Amino acid sequence: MQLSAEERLEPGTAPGARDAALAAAFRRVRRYLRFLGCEPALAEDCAQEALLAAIAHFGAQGGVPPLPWLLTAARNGYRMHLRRQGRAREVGGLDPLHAAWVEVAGADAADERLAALRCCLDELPPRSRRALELRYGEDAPRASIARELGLGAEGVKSLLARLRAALAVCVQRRIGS
Amino acid sequence: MKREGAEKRLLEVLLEEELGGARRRGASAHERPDPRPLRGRWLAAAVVLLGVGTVVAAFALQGRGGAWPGAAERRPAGQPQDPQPQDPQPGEPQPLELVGVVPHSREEFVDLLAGVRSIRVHSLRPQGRGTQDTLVTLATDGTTRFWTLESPATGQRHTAYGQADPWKARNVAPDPLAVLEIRDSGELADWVRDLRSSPAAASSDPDDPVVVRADRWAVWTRAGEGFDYGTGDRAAVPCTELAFELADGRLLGAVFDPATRVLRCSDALGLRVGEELLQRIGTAAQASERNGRLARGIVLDLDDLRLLPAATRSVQCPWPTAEQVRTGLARLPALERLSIGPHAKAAPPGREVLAALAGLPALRSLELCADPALPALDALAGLVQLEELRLAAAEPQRAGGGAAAAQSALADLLPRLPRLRALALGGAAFGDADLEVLPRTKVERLQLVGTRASAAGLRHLAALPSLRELDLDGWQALDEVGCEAFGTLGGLRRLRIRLARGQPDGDAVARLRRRLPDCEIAVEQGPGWRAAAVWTAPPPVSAPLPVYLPPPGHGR
Repeated sequence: MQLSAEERLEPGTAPGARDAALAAAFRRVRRYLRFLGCEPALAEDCAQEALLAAIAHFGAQGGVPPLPWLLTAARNGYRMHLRRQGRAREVGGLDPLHAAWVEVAGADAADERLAALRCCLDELPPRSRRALELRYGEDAPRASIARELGLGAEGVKSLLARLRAALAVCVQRRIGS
Repeated sequence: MKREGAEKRLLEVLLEEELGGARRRGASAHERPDPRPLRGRWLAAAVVLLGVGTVVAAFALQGRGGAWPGAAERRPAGQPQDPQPQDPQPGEPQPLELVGVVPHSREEFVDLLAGVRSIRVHSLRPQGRGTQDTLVTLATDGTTRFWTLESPATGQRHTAYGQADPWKARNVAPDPLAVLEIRDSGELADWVRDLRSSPAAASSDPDDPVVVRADRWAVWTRAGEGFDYGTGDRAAVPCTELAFELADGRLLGAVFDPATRVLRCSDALGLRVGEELLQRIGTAAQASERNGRLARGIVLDLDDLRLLPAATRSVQCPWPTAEQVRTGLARLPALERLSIGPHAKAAPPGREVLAALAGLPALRSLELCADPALPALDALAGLVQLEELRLAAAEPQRAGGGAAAAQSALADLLPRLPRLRALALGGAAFGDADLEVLPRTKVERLQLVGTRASAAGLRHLAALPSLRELDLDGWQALDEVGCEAFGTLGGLRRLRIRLARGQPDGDAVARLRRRLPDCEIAVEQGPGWRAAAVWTAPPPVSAPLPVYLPPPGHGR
């Protein structure tokens, strides 16, 4: 696990810097839980619980807990939640999803991919960017996107699929370079 | 998952994270239809409550000096920043009561368990499908088995009403075939052992031992869902979710499986518990089960009636005595819904009990397993505020005064309930004759479950203009005569037919829809009973369960 200079905190580090590092860890854990299929609100709850458990385990004065420890704690919390719900099939699917995460996200929990994606988004034409913002930013239904962009519902579906494919290529290219 | 699929999934997550600020900050400005069913909305409400609790916990945590990562980015725009929380000073106690413990090794798990101060039971739940309110038994494989016996040699049908809920369609046999509840795990060997050790004759009383003397045995099984930890062995709760409170106030969460006696903190950490801890878990689980049950108004022991809070609005209990109605139920002024289950063997309910029930002032809904009380039903006429009445009676011959007296009592009762809008009749005790009286009521919703009603009886309903919803469960056949009878019910808006057996005929359904164009119609196939095994002698204890398909027409 590679940590940034900011994240390599030692006991006694200023609280503000530690909070920033913890917030970064929180975002990674939440991202991981979303990858596992966890609902957004629940992902935030599980991520916070994992961090609280980490603080209790490693001490509030310590540095940022190891990411694998956090991910395991969060995964267990999510697993417990699924079991409480009786969602046995999804419990069984967690381990393959975790393996997939390890394979594609890497040691930085996809931070590099996110940075690359940000650059790729900046290169998009305004209309394409708007379509993605409507879909992912405003959670707009397909009909609303179609109305705003002057497309049919199927056209929106095709547009989003093409955009995702293009972004995937762009991200891959940037990571490779 | 293939790498390509994983990358697509990750891209979606990253897009949501990068662009999804608006979604995290609040609801979307775009209207979208709410596809969630009622259950989903309850779940959503629970999540909202959980969120409120989380916020409260966050404030408590911040008040104690703990940091809450990510809180800043969820703060609404424009709201001033809270002062930076102060870190606890060395030696200052941490807010441990908010923190769960995650052991990292078996040794640590054992050490933590050694310091358990108390056990909280978070939930008692099945490992398979199930609902907590269904009065049937969940087998260990996650399905419920319904067992039926028949004796072709004697022609006798042995029925056991048992704890089965006549209002759940899945519990009702398509005809008066026996439905025997297996109170243990449902293993055939246990069932056979019980049969062999019981000297008494078969009975419909759930407390009677069951013996069927026949030269041919058939065991029928059907998959269903649901479980009941309120009957039988309460210690055999399929799965228990626990929180161990440690000496320092922290909580250790774990899941306990009584079948294997394994306590799991995570997939990697499982321990087989010893006798002492097993006993403590069992005690905590039973107390939790009882408290949770009483909180829902479900009473198994009539002595517990006195424990119900005065604000109780819904009660489910066995048949009480008149004295218990007066001292236990009548002291609940808010009681609106009452469900009375099978009668106790020693005290069959009489007219006095029903008269006492009629004195409950706020009762709006009444459900009775009414076998022994049918001839005295007219004593309920004092319930002028009653809006919903559900009656189940499987065996008219057990109704004391006989079927005629029962029918007369029902005919006398229904017209005297001016606010009655929903009526449900379940069991073979009811038939066409009981529908004759309905035109003298204002019933809007009628449910017939496993009754002997036929198309001839439906014609009486043509004179009931208020009828809007009709639910027929265990209907024999959707033939031309039936379609014609349904066609006379012009006021119907919803019609659901569940056939006693077989698949619905598409042409018949189409004809029915043409006759009732304004009615929402659903026709479902029969329950699909199948024989699991057949023997010519009482089966051996270790008999396996071969698959056996009954001959055509079997089961009538």
